[in-house]
Amino acid sequence: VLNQLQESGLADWVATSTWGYPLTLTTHGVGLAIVVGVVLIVSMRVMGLFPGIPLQVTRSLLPYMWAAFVLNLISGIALFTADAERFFFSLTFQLKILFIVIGLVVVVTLDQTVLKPAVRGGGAGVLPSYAKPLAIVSVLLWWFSVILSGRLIAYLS
Amino acid sequence: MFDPTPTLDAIGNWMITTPVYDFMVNVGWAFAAAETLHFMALTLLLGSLLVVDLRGMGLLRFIPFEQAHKLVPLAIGAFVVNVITGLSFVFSNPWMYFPNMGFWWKMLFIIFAGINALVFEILVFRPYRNGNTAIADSNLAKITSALSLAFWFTVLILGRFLPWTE
Repeated sequence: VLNQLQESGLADWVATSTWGYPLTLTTHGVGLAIVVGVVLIVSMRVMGLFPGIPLQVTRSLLPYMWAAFVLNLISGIALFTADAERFFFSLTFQLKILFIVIGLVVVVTLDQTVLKPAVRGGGAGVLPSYAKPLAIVSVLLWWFSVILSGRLIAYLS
Repeated sequence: MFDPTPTLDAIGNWMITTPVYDFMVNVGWAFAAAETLHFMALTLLLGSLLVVDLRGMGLLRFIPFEQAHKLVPLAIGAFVVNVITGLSFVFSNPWMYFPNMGFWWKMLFIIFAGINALVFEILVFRPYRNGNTAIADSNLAKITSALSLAFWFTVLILGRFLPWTE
């Protein structure tokens, strides 16, 4: 399967055409800034920073994050196919994917159990006790783990 | 016309005599660590600007204008981290960056973004704080906010393109 991916037209375009790799990597960089940037701002707000911004309205930032995430899923798959065997067996790549999956679960949990009730309550009401720790986990996962492991793919493996 | 080459040569020659150069070149993890920090700070910079500028463009209207603006110090802090880590890259290999036109385009767009931010601060945010709240919905506010995002995303894209503009 990995071989087939590597021999696909998409892989060929990314790996060998003049613009394929720079364009795909740059798209991935733009998406990264939006995904992680939005997660950071929302998480910091849940942690209690910037109290002047109503908690429930940070929820309306999430569509930007999801749009950028789709962009990065597509550009990420394209980058993966170009060198599928190396990525698949690279520990840093495996860790990165793991951190992204956990990170998404954390964001969805924050959205559904903290932000959504805040919208319903008009911002009133007490945060669940796990809200702040979970927001810190969210920052650690996306900011440190995903970016660090992503950068290390270029250096290790 | 002014030829910057001798000046740049002198700066580059000085850079490679500094401890920063030694550190970046001889410590195995230094470059990767600086790059990771550069990426972390850029997400913080773009994330906070996304809120400030989308609000300035008239989107996200349920965020109070002056509250969105409270994210500006965060963006400035992140920018400072990126200037420091960015300088460390140049110190590590001035001869890779100075002849690279993509690098100078990136610097130019950072200057554009800085001037644009000053225009926003002086012509939009100060009058707003002095009572002219209508200016938050002016075309000037919308245009400078949209330009801010356009300039910073261009900076990000040019940065990612540097290996191919050499």
